Order: sequence, then C-alpha cells, then structure tokens
Amino acid sequence: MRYNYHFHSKLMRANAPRHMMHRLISLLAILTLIAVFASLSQLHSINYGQFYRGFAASFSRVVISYLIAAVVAIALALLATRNRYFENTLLPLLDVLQSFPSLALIPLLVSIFGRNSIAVIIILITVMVWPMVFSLIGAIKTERADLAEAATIYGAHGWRRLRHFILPALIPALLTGSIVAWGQAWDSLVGAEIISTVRGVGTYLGSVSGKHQVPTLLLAISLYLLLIFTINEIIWLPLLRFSTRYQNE
Amino acid sequence: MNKNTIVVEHVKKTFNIATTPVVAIEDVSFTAEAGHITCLMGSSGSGKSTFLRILAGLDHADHGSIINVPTKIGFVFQNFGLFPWLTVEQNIGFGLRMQNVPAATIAKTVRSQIKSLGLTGFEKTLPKELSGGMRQRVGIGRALAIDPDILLLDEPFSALDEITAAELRDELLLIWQRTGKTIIMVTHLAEEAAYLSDSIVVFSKRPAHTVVEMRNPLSRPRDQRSRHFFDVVDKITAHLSE
Repeated sequence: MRYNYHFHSKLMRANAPRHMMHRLISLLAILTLIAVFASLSQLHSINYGQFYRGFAASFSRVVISYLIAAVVAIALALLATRNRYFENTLLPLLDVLQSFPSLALIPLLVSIFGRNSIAVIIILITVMVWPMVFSLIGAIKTERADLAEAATIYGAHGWRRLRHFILPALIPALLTGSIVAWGQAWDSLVGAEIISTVRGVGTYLGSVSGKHQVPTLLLAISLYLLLIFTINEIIWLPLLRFSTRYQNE
Repeated sequence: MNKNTIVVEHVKKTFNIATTPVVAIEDVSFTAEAGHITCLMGSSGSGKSTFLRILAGLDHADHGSIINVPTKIGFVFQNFGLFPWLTVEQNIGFGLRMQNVPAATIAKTVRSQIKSLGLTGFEKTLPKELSGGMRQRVGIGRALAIDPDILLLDEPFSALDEITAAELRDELLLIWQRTGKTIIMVTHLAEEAAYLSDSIVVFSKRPAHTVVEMRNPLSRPRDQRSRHFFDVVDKITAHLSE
C-alpha cells in the first residue's frame, strides 16, 4: 500500500489545483443561491426541522433502493451477457423496460401497497437499475479476453470467480453507473414522493405552495442542491478516486 | 520417449462465426517431449494460439486426441493478462489463493518468485505502474508460482521492445534450466524459435496443418551470430513460407 499511496498522491497532486478550483466554484455557486434566496424570503419562513427530517427520510429511501438496484443490476448484466441466447432475448427486453416511464407506476403501486415508502422505493429501484445495468453490460462486452482466460486457468471458478474476478473487474463500471443512478434518483424522488404523499424532501417541497412562497421554495431547492453536492463530495468522489485502482492502464 | 511426453494426433477445430462454420485447425499432429522447449510457429491467424488454448483446456477440439494432457498449467499471455486491481505479489499468488493454499505458504512462494524474477521492491506495485518487461516477469511469476506441469507461452515477448525481449528470453532459459519444466511456446519469430527451442512445429495458413516438425540441431549455449544459427533460422523461414 505504501508505494501505491505514494504514486496515487503524486497523481492527485498533479490534478489537485484544477479539481479544487472546480469544486470550490460549484460550492460558491450553491452558497450564493442560498444567500440570495434566504435574503429574499424570511429565513424562518422555511421549516428547517421538517425539511431536514424529510431529507433524511428521502436519503434512506435512496440508499435502500440503491442497494437493491445494484444487486439486481449486477445479476441482470451477468445474465444478459451469459450467452448469445440470453443476449438476443434479454437485451431487447431490457431496452423496452428502460424507456418505461417509472412515475406512471405510482398510482398502481399506491393502490397495492398503500401510501408508504414501499411504493417510492420500488419506483427508485426501477429508475436506478438501468444506468447500472447498461454500464455493466458495456464493461462486460469490452472486457479483455485474456483476463477471463487467466482467471479460468488459475482456478477461479464458481463463487470464487465472482468474488475474485467478476466483481473486481466490474467495479469501475458499477461506480460510474451508480453515480448516474443517484443523480436520476434525486430527480425522480421528488415526483414519486409528491404523488404518493409519504414524508420526504419531495413532499415538503410539494407542501410549500402558493405565490408568496416562491422565495422559500427556491431556498429549499438550493438547500436540496447543497445536500446532494455534499453527498457527492463525501461519498462518490472518494469512491471514484479509489476505483482507478481497478482500471486497466 | 518419456512417459510425460505430450502426443498430439490429428486435432481439428471448427468455429461457428455467425452460424457459418470456419475451420481454424484442420489436422495438427506433433510430439512435445517432456522437459523440452517446443515452439509452435506459423503466420498470424494460423491457429497456433487456438491450439495453445485447447491444450490449456480453455477450448475443446472437435476431433483428434492429445495424450498426456497437462493438468496443472502455467500460462503466460502476450499482453500479460495481469489483474489490474491486484498488486505484483497478489497477482503472483493468485493461482495458489484459488487453491486455498494457506497464506503463509503463498507468501513464501511469492517471495521466492519475486526474488528470482528481479521484482524485489515492487511487491506492492500495481501492474499499470510497471514497464512491459516487468509486467511479463509478473506474468511468468504467476505461472511458476503454482509449480505447473507445463508452461504454455503465447507470444510472450512480442509486446516488448527487442532489448527487453532478449533479456526475458535468457531469463526463460535460466528458469527452464533450473526447473526442467516442459515448455510449449507460440512465436512467429524464426530467430526466437531457433534460439530457444529443442524442436519446432510449423503450422500452415488457416486451416492449419502441421507443415513440419523439426528438431533444433543447435547445442546450447547458442550464439545468435554464428553461421549455424543463421542456417537454422533460414530453414525455419523456408518452412514458414511453404
């Protein structure tokens, strides 16, 4: 690890100023938005307790949905690329399913499960699974043949193959797919919560309505943006940096 | 004839490319003696890599037989085939790890491979941080770590610059002299085959037949600038263009 870290830190240092600049500007832009909207609305016009509790509930839904979607995506991608038969039957099916408008399912899910988190979680899974599935399929199809041959020759079979070869080889694709999935989840979440009326950041935004509330709404949206930005900074960027280890060249 | 000598008889292999059968190997027969270096030669696309994969158990022949199919195989790849997420020592220990060998034993074997291949100081390095020559040393180390019955090499030096390739050829000879392993190596370079091999098998263009199976008459160590050496190279080249 010592040598790695050394090499890695050198690599990061070379890019550090540009990255820092980029992120600083993003952060400043969001903070400016918040400042502007906060001055336009009365600061206490937003119910912070309700907002943050809502966000926490929404965040936990995204996490649960993501974990399920990731397992489903890995299984689907491995199945769809298993042989030509599966590829010919499953891929067109996945293509159709991918373009299905998820939010259209909400009334159906609410009728089945009632007005609770389950409906939202199912919607989020159907949104999050596709970017990961297609990113993984792309990676599997362009995989280097010699690595798979080396895994076979040196005895990686069954579960051992999954753990020591297949999953590590898919980590970069899984990560880029995950980042897109989370982005789309933050988007669909608001709609899904408003329609199903379970408590969350979306329902909070939905509850604050009326013409005089516009600055408050803009402030709440900016705060939402800040939280998403923070999550990207503390979860996804470090993971992305870590995943370069798993890439060829 | 040694009891571990590999005898290949009338091997045939057909691929289905978009439902059209394409014969890659029509009829290949030869003998690879135990403890010898056999070089498989032929123009590109002549099925020599395909044949090596059949021998390694990665693919199946449609017809023919192979007597004494090796079971424990060390395979060295043209483009190294190293796992990018594993360090040098983890790559070398991969085969043993898959066999559930105790960690202490793996560490010991890996250490001795690293030492003998001149990889000391690079134990924790990732393949992408190494030069081509160093990567192939790791590839050879990974193959030797499992103490294979046979070492199969698929154009192992063709992705390297000539100076590094020459270095690794001598390294391979040292390993062979030290371990006495049976080696089968695919190459398209007549000079490489003349320098390394005990015998040479030449495949024809696709669909492959064995054109010739010839003994290398040169004694070791070999002088690559001697008259005899050039004669052997010329003879191989003549067979290659048949």
